[in-house]
Amino acid sequence: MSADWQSLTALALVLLTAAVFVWRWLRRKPSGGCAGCPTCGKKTNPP
Amino acid sequence: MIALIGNPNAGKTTLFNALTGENQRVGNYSGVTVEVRSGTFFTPHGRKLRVLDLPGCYSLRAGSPDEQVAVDALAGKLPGEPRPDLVVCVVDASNLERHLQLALQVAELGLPCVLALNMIDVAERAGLRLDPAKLAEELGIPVVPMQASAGKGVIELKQALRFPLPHAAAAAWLTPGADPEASRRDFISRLCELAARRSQAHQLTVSDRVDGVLLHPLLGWVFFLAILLLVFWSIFSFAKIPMGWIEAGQGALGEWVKSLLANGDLRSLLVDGVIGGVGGVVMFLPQIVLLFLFIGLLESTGYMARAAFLMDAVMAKAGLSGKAFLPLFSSYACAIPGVMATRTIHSAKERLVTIFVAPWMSCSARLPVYLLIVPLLLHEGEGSWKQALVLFFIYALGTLSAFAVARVLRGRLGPDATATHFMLEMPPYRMPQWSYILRHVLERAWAFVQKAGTLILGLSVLLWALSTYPKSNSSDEAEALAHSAMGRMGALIEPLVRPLGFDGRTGTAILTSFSAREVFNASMAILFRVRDAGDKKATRGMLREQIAAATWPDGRPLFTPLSMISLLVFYIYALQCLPTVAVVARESGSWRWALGQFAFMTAFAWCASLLVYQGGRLLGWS
Repeated sequence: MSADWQSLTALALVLLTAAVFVWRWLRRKPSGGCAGCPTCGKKTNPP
Repeated sequence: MIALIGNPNAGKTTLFNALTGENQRVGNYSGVTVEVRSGTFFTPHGRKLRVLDLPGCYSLRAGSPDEQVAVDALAGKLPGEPRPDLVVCVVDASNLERHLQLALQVAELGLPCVLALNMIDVAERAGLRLDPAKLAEELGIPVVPMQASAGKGVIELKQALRFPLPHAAAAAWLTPGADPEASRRDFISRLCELAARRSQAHQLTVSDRVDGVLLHPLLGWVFFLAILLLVFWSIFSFAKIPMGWIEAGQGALGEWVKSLLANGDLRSLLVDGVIGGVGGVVMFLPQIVLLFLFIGLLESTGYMARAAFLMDAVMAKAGLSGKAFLPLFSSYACAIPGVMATRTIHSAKERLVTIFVAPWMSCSARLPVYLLIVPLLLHEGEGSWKQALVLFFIYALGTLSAFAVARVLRGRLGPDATATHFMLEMPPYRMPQWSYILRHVLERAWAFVQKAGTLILGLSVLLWALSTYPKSNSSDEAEALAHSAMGRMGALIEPLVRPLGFDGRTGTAILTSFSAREVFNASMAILFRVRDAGDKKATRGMLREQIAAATWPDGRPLFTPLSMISLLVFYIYALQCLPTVAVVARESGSWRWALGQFAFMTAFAWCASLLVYQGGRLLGWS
């Protein structure tokens, strides 16, 4: 029984993550700004 | 609004930070600022002023894209920015003869000016006797002596910016009919005799003496290589202890989750997907921090300019100039700021070539992949000199290949319409500005952790799902994986990567790392959780042990030294970074150039890996 509960929760988490990715992709900035990188992490003010 | 202008490395950004309290990147090297930044501050009289930090330039002739930006800003042609009400000319007091050239040109524009006589401490140590009052009298503009790095003179400068603003200088040095360049030169040499006298005609400073060694044709290279080796060795050895903590923490967290949950999907998602995936990337945080710390130290002390000087001859062989050194060196941290820093390069063709080869400088995102594979290759723990040497060769291979391609490409593009010159500022050696370095290292470390906590976390969850669904009824984990979407994708991609010595799982991990290279480690952690039956040690072990224990279906080890070298070679050459492609398209102004670069580098990586693996097998290596 516990496996069913775990399967459902895991599936929900996966779907939630996928939804976040889709949502962020839909809300992405138009090209032109800095793409962001490990150097400064800021998206608008590159070094 | 006021604008800060000055030669490269005059300390504009340091002054900008001191005025506004911001933390922009500064380096003891010219060309750190390539974009206009703005901030605000209050004068002691309570007026709010906006200040623009312009990129450094030697003249107002606008030779390179960043100089053009500075010229446009002064003319009020910058989109969305009015013409500045006042210009603060930042000059290096120890280098007045050259820095005043630009200051005079700015004054001739008819804009009110204030001269910030920066680095007064360095000038005094060099034996210069400065007379700011005399300078102000001769130039006809206020002069403020200061040491921006220590915050000295900042209040006085703010006081000089009071309203009504000072009048524009009369430009009395220009004589009608005479060449303006010659008039300025004569005026400056007369002015320096009056207001900036040297106590002795020629005096060797400490920097000069140190340069005698560090710029020596032979010793200079010995030190250069020794410094690079030391950096790589430190990345392996000093990071060992914190890495151990992170690994232990990751193991303990996994055990804790296992103790809470019975065997099932959620437990697998949390332990194998989230903790394994994110942990496989976060583990390398200490090494990323060390890399940025060393880059910051080399920049801040002034050694970077010496390295550029040494490298100029090597660059010339690749058809580039020393100007390409900073963009290429920055690319070791990340190709994106590297590509953006090419704006300091005057020649458009040289700039395009530099942009093209910059991603071959191994960036910090590749480091986790290298650090995963190199110890496996040598069968040794972390921190040995051998590992540092292998890492050094990896970086050298990328760099030398970049130079070779640059040379070919530069030859094909042909010479420039107008010849350009490489002029390099040799800044005096300074004590590192620890507060800036540490703040930036922290910022970068935080950006890395954020990336691991958001993008890598999300991708780990999705990768886990791909390797779990659709579920099979089999209790055998290997069969379940083969049945999953990821397993099918691996089977599909296997014919493409098999000639390189990889199986479908590694191929899939490579495929996923096209979103960001670090994802390779997360994917490997998830894909290789299926161990070969009976190997209890590997079952308990961490990522590296799991990879070492992986085998082909016929029982041969999957990761032989040859296939690991092939994998490293693939990662050195492949351009697996979508943000870089986007930035290259913007900076080069051409999607064709960016996509061509992506296609070339991916194809080159595949061919180079194939050559290494198949060539090695022909020679009888395994």
